[in-house]
Amino acid sequence: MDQPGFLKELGSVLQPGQGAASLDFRLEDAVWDSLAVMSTVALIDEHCGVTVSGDELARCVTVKDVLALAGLA
Amino acid sequence: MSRGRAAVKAIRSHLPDRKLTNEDLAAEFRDWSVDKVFEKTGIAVRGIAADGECASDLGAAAARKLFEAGVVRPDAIDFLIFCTQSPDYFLPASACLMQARLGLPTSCGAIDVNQGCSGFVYGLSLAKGLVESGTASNVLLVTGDTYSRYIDREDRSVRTIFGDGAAATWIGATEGERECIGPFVLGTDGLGAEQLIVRDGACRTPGAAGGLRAGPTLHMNGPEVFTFTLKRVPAVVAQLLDKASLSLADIDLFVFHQANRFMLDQLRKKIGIPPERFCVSLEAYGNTVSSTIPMALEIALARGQAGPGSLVMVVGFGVGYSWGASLLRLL
Repeated sequence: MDQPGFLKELGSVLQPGQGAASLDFRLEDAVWDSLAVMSTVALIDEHCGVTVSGDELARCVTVKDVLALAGLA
Repeated sequence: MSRGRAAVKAIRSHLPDRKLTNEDLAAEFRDWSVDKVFEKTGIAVRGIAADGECASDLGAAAARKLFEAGVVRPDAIDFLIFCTQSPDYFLPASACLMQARLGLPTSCGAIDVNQGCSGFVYGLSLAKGLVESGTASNVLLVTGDTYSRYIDREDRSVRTIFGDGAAATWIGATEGERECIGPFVLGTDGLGAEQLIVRDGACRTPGAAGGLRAGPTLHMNGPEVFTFTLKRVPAVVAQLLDKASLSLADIDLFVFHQANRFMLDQLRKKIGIPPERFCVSLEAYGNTVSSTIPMALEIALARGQAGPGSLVMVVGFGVGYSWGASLLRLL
């Protein structure tokens, strides 16, 4: 999956109905709880073929950090 | 003692009377709705053991259902395996107490096995070994847990998922040479121990070390456990198929540990299993740890999703980290 497609999917996890996530969106401004982290682990696994660590993902600050972890930066 | 191939002959399960519904949870956690809890977990109701009700009580009730149904007599059981992480006491083994309560012969072997979500598969591997080595003819494998004892009321991540319950599975010898249980793929990665643990109350940390509640408390790092399953389970399924020289298409039904629906959906999609051959049936009992696989099997048999001759893959994974997978040819 390319970056725009991934940002659209990630936006639906972080802020349902608000459109694609922006690169500088701060995860703390969404409900970045264990369910959101698991949903993002699943998203990256399914669309990027990479199974990232839940702990590493939980430490991300912005959407740009998530992209880097997913190999889409 | 006659040797023969081991096979699963019957399963019965038991849930406590007390229930925790999504309506109860939504009333406590105001920012969660009934629909949201169900959508994420696939669970509508969980059994919660009554005060003073132990996993062995639930397990004994499940075993009595087998006896009352007339499928096997107590005096025919010559080995009892009780898989639990909620024992009555540090010692003696709960299986010894259960032997007496169920009226099993004193010639019956009895052991506890401390294993969680992979416990049913491990129990099957032990039962197969006992039967096919000629050590026992009729093994009663009881799985049971009361994780609710360890759960902090404020910890919604585990409270929404886990339910108490037990199952009793009769594994006996059959005629013929056809393998009815096996082969097995088993594995362990103790580096994952910290991700799902009840730390306090045993010998390493005898006193409660604080936390949200007094007494032993269940800690679960959900995202890390999820990552573990996404990495490990597809590989285990592939190893088992390779070991058995089979493909996904040869398996009639896949019964994975019923952790939660979200995790099951992700695993099913990643492995490429069609939904009609994949069990998701935890709605009425939740994650009952080592009992989810026999409970799901019992439901699948009742619904006609599997029957005599069916080839079923069972896969358990979780706390430990520990995992196990096997194939069952149903009688």
